[in-house]
Amino acid sequence: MWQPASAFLKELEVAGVPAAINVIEPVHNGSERELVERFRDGDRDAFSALYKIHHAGVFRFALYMTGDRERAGEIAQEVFVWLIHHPAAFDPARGDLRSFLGGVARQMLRRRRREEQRWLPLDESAAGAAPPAEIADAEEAADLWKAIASLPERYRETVILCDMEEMSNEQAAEILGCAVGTVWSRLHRAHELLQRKLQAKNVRCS
Amino acid sequence: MNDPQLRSGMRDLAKRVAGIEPPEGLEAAVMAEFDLAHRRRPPVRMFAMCGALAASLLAGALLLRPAPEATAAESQPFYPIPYTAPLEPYERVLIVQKQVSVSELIAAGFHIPAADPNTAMQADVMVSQDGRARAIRPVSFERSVQ
Repeated sequence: MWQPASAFLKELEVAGVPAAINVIEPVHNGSERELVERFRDGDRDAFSALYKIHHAGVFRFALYMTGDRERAGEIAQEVFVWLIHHPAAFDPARGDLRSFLGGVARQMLRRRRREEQRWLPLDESAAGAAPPAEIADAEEAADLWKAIASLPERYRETVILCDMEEMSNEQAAEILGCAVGTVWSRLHRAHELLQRKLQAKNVRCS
Repeated sequence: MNDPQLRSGMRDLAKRVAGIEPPEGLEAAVMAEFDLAHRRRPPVRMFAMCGALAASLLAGALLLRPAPEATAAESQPFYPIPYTAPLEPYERVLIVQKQVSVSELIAAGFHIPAADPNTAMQADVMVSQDGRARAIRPVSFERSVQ
């Protein structure tokens, strides 16, 4: 015999299970580690907080590497979607999330470049050479962008992480998968190359 | 160009790049993927909560009943089946008594570590108007089902 559900609602509450699944606590100003743990437990607010903290950094790194706002947005999206599907891949004991996501972004960029280079003619496959429209009007910034974009990849990545994103050599080493000393020497060499390129450009202009 | 000039240029460039916003809809797309992924895979915490509840329910039922065939259904509460929508006061429900195996309970989301999956129990099952089981109330434990 059909009975009104209201007769059982109190009983269901007494049984100790929340009446609804949506019992997410608001995000407090907890540490990142706490946010990561909550994200792993499926906490949407914690993931949203992590996204808000880190998306700009991931997007900028991809923007420097591609020179294209739309493609950088796609890379940033791929990075966070990957994180959603691999919540256990990040180990807080081995480093910070910023470096981890930087490493994921780097892998995504490499994979995408490999795929694109397969189909593009050689002269079009030099991604990131032209600055984005927002930079193109400022002459000095545009020149510096082009100079950075023309660096060999290992130097370019190091300059972007250490100089533009102001990461420590240790964080950059974690993303690049190399020793801290290697980061330092690459940075030194990259600065020499940049100075030389920009000097040559100034001489040509004058 | 010397090193300080280079660094100054880099700071200026970094400032300009920081002003470039990601494409619109990026956050919405990422959060939609999060929601989709978690609809497919319910949160581990909910499994743990429901598991603990189910374990205590079964342990309590086993310990408090002197005879296996004893019936005290009315004194037991109904336990909501995990991951089902909560009942609204205006809905109507049907109580059906049936034999439920422990393996079925496990499949429904209850975590019952100590129980033999071959064990069955007589239970009142609360069925809502959409035909779905919403809650369960153990009545008695029965023999092993093979």
